[in-house]
Amino acid sequence: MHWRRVVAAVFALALVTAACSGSSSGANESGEPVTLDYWVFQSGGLAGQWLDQLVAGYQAKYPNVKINVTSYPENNYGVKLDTAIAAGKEPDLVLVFGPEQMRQGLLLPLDDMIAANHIDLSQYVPSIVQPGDEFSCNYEGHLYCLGSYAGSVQLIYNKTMFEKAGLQPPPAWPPMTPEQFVEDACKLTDKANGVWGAAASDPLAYDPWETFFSDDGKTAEFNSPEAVQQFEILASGYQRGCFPTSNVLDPWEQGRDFFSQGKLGMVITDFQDLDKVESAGIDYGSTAVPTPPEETPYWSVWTDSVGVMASTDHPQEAENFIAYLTTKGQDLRSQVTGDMPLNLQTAKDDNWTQGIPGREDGVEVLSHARTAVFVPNRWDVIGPYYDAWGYVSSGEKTAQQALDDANPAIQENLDKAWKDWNDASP
Amino acid sequence: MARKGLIARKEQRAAYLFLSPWLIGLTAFWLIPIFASLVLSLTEWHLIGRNPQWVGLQNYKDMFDDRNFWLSIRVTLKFMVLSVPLYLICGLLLSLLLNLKMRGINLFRTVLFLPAVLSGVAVAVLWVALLNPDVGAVNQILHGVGISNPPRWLQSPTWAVPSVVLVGLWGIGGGAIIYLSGLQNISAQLYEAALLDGAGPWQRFRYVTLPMLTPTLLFVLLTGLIDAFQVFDIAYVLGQKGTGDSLRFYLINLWNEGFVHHEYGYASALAWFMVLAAAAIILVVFRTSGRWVYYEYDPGRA
Repeated sequence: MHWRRVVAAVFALALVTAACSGSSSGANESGEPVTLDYWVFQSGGLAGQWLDQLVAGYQAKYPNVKINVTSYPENNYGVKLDTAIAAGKEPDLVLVFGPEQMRQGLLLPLDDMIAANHIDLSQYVPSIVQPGDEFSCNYEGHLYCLGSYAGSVQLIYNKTMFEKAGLQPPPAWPPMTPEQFVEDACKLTDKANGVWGAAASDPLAYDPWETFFSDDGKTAEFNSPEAVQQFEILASGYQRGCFPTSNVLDPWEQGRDFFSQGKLGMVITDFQDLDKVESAGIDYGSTAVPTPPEETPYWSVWTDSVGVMASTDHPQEAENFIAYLTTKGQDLRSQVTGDMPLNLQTAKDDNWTQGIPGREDGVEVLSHARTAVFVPNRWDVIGPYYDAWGYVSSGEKTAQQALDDANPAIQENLDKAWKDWNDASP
Repeated sequence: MARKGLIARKEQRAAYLFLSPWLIGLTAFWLIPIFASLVLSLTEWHLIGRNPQWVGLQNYKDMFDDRNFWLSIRVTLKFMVLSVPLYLICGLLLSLLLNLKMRGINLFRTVLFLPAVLSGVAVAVLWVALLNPDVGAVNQILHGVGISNPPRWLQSPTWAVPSVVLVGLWGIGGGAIIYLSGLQNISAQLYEAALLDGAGPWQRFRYVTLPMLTPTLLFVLLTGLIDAFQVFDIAYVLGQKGTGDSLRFYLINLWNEGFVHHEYGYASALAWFMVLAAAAIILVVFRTSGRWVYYEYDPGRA
């Protein structure tokens, strides 16, 4: 009879356990307190205000959930996160860098959440939601992150200067060729009044990555005739005095400032902080980056790429947060920071363009965004490219010489990057 | 006797108690990580994903086929060859000036020492502006003295390492203060004796100051060599402006392997190689120092 008592005790224990776990799960839905850890880049100013309002809005909608936001400097974020993952102390919500965490199974796929919330991805900037390069949230057909805004590289130009120079302003799409870009820049240059025709940091700021890599991303083609030609075209703009060197004017950091002061006819830079240009009264347009006629245009597009760690104890609440971020959060962000929504339909519904032609151009350009060929650790792989551009722009070497020297070194880096990528595969 | 032993044991316990915070810190944050990095250097580990895989000495073998390893060695050695002698000589000359007895010399000593206590990152940011090839102060001055085509400094791969040497030159005040303490330790009697023997200023420097300063020179040489292996913050900041591979110092390469490529096993092997290489160079300097370093009191020679 003793064994019967043991079996009864086990059943009783199982029933109590089931009852407890059932009540815990039900309690979460019915309001048991939940805390989600969310790690972000350090952000102040308008982006910081938006984040505060986003968190407050979500917590008002889900009063049982508290979002615990921790900020880290951007260049330490990856190391902090990797260390936390190794220690098993990762947060629930993270900013996603590239496909590594996706292929390692560290993030939850968001496909069910997207379907449940009727989020229409066909209206999102394509390069973020389609599989591809390091900025894409899509890995092997599943979506692992979403964001609240669309940052991108575009060419913005001063329409008044174009008209004064008797030039036809470029359409938003298709883009002009690099040759046309340099020619127009030289016609817009007015050295007597301190006006530069255009600013662009280096050829890879706008040339498609496929000009420099094979279609599978495994062969460096930096000294191909097409790549050499692109170097020569931009270098000629520098040599003719139509472009400032990045020492005089860094297009990424100062491009919009100089453009707002009427000291630049065109600039290839981040399509953000447009208030600065608009409040200066500049009549501007935007177009996709210059592209050789035989290539498909490519430029970088990014978002805040928030994902849910697979280890979270509260996947439902974390997914709800991403749904809130990419719906209500987009509206809020465009109001608070002026950033362009990632969902192009939201941009229209929210009247983000406000009828400003430059913004309308920007939306049109982003509807054509595509992903590039995938190259693991691509910014580190192309280190010798920057040396080559340094030699060419300072006139120490011809484009052919510099790229002939750089290409074998880039190929070695590329082989190592692919080996590391394959070695680390799960 | 028993009471004496009891007191000694109590004192011993007290000593260990007071030492324990330091010993715990040394073990937890120094000895264990050092041992862990040695073990990691024999593994392949990406921090996330699979557990470390034992690969034996493979990481050390892979170094010799790695282009970036050799590149980083070249860049670091180039910096070492250019900077160490220059900083030794300039630091010595500066200390001779600071050793003069004149009004306001303490102010000069303070001002010249200031750069040595500034953050490396702040110094780098300042020098990025000064070395701007088109609008920076350095090239404006060079244009002003008739040099029509001055170097493009950090923008030119050829001039990138010399630019870092130039930036480091600004901080030689730290070395000069060490020389100064060495100079002030030289007995005045030696100079008096030399004067009585009719020695002029150059002979006093050559036969009194320089030999008596050689222990200090050895110290500054060793710290200079170690510093050359450890260039990171300045190159990291200066390299943000697209200098490509021309500033891939050893530690920059190590950082990239670990924190960019997530090759923590290989990065640990690189770290251990650096320790062994630095130790070998320092050992050679020590072994040869007997030929050129003179101590006021040398029991071996006595």
